[in-house]
Amino acid sequence: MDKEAEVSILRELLAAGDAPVSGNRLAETLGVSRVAVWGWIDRLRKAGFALEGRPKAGYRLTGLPADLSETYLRASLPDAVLYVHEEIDSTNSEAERLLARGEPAPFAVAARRQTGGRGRRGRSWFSGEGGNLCLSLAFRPALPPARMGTFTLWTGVVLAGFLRETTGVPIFVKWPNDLMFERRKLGGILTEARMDSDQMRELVFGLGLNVNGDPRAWPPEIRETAASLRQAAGRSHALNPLAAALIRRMLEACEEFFADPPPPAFRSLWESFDLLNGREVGVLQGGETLRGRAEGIDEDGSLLLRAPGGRLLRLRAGDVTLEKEATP
Amino acid sequence: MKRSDLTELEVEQEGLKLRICRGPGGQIITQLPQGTAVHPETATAAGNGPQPAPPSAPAPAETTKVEENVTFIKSPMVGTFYRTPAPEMPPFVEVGHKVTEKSPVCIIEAMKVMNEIQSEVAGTIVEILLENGQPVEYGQPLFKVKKG
Repeated sequence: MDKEAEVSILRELLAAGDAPVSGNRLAETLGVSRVAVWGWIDRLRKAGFALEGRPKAGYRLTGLPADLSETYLRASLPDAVLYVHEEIDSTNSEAERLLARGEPAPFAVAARRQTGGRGRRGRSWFSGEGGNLCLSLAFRPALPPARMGTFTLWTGVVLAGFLRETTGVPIFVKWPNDLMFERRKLGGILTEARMDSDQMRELVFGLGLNVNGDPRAWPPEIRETAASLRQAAGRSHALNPLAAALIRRMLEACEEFFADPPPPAFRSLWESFDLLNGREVGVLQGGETLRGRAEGIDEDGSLLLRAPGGRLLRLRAGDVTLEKEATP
Repeated sequence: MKRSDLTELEVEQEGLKLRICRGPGGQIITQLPQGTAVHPETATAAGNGPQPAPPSAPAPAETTKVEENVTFIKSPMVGTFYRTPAPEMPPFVEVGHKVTEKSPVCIIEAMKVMNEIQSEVAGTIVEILLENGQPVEYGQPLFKVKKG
């Protein structure tokens, strides 16, 4: 109940923007005493919110906590179902457990830290000591499995577009959906689904995004290949507003994708985010590396690879690496 | 084919390619590549039982039920077949394992979406038809299951 009151107070302060909100008004809105309001203001301060209090005028929100705040996310996303953790093994694993327990979907799971962040096929995801985003969104879409073919590409371009707008960083997507700054990885997506032969039952979209971390301090094996938004933009980003806006945008985007009719073809949209287009790449596929020039995607989302002999290959799986660029 | 435990047979001769596999419910499926001209007797000779020869153009499967109480878990999509949740983990199921309708049996990776496939049938796994990491086609049988 206390948590809810904190959320309500913060919501009032966020709605007021730069204008102060009087203690009386907060007390009236929440139907509590002014003394109770003081207590909750104090707790918000302890949670890292900067609140300026002026006699007669009231309270004004002047700063946000640097780390992910459940109170902030709840205040900003009143209609979303959220599970926010200080620390968790993996937000995808937690989302899967919640779905298995029968919790209503859609919902979002976010955490400050992950102790067992996962990538594709047993790879791990390093998310540092806070300041980054570990997020999973869970759905129960009633969709035929065939409809899922371009989901990965769709979420990749929507996210890249959202992040370009909000941070100004020129983010590209490496097929099928790695978020890249130049040749380094800013974010990884792991989508896991449960289905039987005719229908998708559960879907978890997981995102690890390096926001304010410093990759130079990260484990040596990823120091050179990872990037963060802070490093790319040369400034840090307010994690909480970014997280709230991103959750809102991705919940919308996924629902748009599941809707009937689905979003129109996005091949042209893909072009403006395609990191690989026209570049020499290697595609590791079942122990074998195919080399050639990337030439975009087809309607199904397959990677088009022009082999050295001139043959055009359509690839639906594989790990892509950019070949070293020849120095001009 | 049933006697030999073969699940798939591919014959290529003089530019003609014929693929026969055991389909869902133990049926025999005879497949010819699209547009292949074929003499009817070639197809029946390679088949098993009294099914008529498939038509000469895109070959829809002609099927005959040959095994009672046996069914197949099929792939709902094109992708890569994985028997384990992650490389270092044990397989979801082995031959002899009992499964229920909700049991996860494998992962099919398609466009970086990891799809956990549920059995949809209760019974015992009698055969695993693919190796870990192999590509799969839509509708391809993955597991043979004895119902009950």
